[in-house]
Amino acid sequence: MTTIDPARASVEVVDATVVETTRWDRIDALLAKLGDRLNPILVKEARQALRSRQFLITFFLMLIAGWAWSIVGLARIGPAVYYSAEGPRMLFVYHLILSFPLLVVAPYAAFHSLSSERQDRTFELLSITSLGARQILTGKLCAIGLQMVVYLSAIVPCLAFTYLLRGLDIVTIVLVVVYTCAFSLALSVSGLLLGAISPLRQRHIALSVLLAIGLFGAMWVDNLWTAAIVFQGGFWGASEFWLLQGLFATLFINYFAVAFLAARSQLLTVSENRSTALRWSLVVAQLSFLGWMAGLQMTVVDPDVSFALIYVSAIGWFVFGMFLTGEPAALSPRVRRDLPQSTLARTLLTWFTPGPGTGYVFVLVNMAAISLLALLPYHEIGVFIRRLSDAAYSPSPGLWLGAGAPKPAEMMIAGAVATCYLAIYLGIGSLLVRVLRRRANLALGVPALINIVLLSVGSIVPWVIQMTSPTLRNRDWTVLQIPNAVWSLTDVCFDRLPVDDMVLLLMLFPVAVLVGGINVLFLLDDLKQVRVARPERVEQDDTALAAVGAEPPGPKDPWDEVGGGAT
Amino acid sequence: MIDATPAIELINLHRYFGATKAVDDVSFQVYPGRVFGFIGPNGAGKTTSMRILATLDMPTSGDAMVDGFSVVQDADRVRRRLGFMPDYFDTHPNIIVSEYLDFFARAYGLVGAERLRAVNYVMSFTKLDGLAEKPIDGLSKGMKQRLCLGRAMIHDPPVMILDEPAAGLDPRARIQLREMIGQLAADGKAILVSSHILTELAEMCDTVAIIEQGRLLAVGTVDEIHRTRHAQRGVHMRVLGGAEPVRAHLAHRDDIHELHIVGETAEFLHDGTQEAEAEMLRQLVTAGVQVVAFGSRARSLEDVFMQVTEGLVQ
Repeated sequence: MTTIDPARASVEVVDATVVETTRWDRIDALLAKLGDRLNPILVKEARQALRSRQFLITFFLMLIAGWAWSIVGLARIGPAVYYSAEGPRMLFVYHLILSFPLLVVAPYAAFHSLSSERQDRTFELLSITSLGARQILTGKLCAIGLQMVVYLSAIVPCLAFTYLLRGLDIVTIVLVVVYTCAFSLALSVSGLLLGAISPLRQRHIALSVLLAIGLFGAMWVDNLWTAAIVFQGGFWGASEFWLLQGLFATLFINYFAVAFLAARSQLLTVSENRSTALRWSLVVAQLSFLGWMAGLQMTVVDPDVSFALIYVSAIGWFVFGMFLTGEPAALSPRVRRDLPQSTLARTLLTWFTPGPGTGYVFVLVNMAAISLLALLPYHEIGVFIRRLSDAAYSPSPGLWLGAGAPKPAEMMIAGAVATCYLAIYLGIGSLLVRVLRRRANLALGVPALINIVLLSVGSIVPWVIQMTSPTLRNRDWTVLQIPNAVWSLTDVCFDRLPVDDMVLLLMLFPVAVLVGGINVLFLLDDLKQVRVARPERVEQDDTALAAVGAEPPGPKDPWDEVGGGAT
Repeated sequence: MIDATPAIELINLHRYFGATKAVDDVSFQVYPGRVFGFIGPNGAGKTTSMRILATLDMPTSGDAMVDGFSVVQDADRVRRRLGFMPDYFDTHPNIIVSEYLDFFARAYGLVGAERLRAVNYVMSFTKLDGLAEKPIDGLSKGMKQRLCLGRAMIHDPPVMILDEPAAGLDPRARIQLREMIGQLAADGKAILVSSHILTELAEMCDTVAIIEQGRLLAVGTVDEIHRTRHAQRGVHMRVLGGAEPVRAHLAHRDDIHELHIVGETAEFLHDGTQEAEAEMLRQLVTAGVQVVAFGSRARSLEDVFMQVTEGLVQ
């Protein structure tokens, strides 16, 4: 890229460093340098947002509501303010006022910010700048974060005021604010994800409505949660409470990373690697989730935790699998430039490269792994660790409800059943998508839709047949329900299956092997794709960039596998 | 002289939308310092080709290169080298002209004094200095077009793609825009520009490509296309005492068409070179025809366009 010749500029620009004479000039220059480091989207959207009517109206309404409740609340309490524990009630209403802009306005603004840019085609001009997808999303999130801070600043004096009242401590107030802000960020990144997948106007309107309903629902849930903390507080004395906060924080971080990377992948060009970073984030999320579950089991053995883990993981991997097994099989030369090359790297990392075959194996291996790892607490090593942890840590009685007898065999079967169902449904879905892809270009949602339809048909049809049959309608699970993954897996995981679990597994296993085998045949074709050399011009560009001290595009960390638009 | 390396290169580019072939095997090259005009009726495939070059669309097959980088495989590198002015103006609410340019300067990685210089230079170049504090929502069409051009050149890209830059502009603004484009080419940029106003293109372009129904019908200078298409030159002459004697000399010739004689003037189309026209004039004068005025002109870009295209729309 050439640079603008200063001599051509007809307007003389005074270099800030030349006129640095006073302290204020130096501060100004420092601020200018700091400003240069800010994300351009943040700068632009902050400028726009602070002038927007929506922001001003929301901010002042919030301010007025906060003041109004202060006056009304105090008038209602009257002289009892000196001795009555009215702090929680005041805090709850302040939170209610805060929750609307944070949990409805801000996430909706995040969605609208991205989706409207895509609708109005302003995103096109943004996307052809040097900004990568990650910078665009980060900028938008930071802009939303800034709005959150401004909204929060309007209500902070009121929150501080509640600390002066009786019945509240600082931990409660901080927790309420932290939960609301974290929830707002999680909803905002969800809004960005929805915004990233809504290029069509019809879909945009439908998603807008769904999102608005969801956000009000989330606001309601958050207020229930806050009510529990504020009115029935005092949990934080128990160590389990903080353990739970750690679990929530892990879930939040993992959800945030997965949603962020999913949104990012939608903003990358089709030739870039949209999948690897997302797959890494899924593995990290699974491992951290598993770690927490294992940790909980080692302190309190409850087989239901393992069954729940298998059940939730099966749902999660089906959802992720719908998208991963629907990826195009042919890799772009851009992606092939970074394919693993050595035997070891190919063995370990091929499953992280894009493609339906690798995605299929990736999902099944993860599901099988989590099923096996769920057994860890029953392994001798687990028992040993549990003994150690029992010595160091004793849970509060009553927090964890009854620990049942260990059922490692049943758990193993439940894991195997879940893996078989995934192998069958995702396998058939993947084969259908491969066939359809030969005839037409499929959008992202089509493979997902095919998988949903398949699962729905496989589950609903047997259920309808049984429910409409006079002889079967009053019976529990029957053999007819073998294709019904939802009913079967639920009964297996919650120990309600009227037959031996092994019978179901033996029926599913051959089908899973057959479907999986066909998919593996296609996978072999996918695996024949090998690394291609970087074009000479790209090498030259990297050398030139390195020569001027710029960082050449390229892998920086596992979250940034391709130096392209994401960096 | 033409640089050996093309700044823009389309290589057997195809883009299909279902059964519609929006771009069908298009190939051409644009060199640095040149203005390349892209002409075609509505729906011919100009904008689609330009969007592919700007990395906003993907070809069905083929490739396009900008400064040696593939728009398909190395879109990020192409974007750093490309300024794109689309045929629409993006609307950003609550933002003023200087902030708009400042944002795009930041987005292209310009920092500190360099960014300030770029913004000031662009505002000066596009004559937007006096509008720095004006909200962009309140700009006129011409001002927006200039701002759009300013945005496209803020990072001083070596390649610029301008889709209908003169659309909707008044004559004065068109002239200014033409001067700006000429200046950018003089600075060494390769410029691909599309327009429906053929006279504008004829004046500013070194080379033109004519596209219709997604297929490239002709590429080259207007004269080159004229020659390759065996195009005719229009000849006009005035003869003292009446031009009827001209008919006797020229009517039988195969290279003369549409001969019209009215009083002292004769007009016809001639297949051939200017040398042949000089010989024809010599023969007429030798034969005693009192020719007092003789002129011939190459056919205009509009004539060439009309000759090459058939007005087909997909």
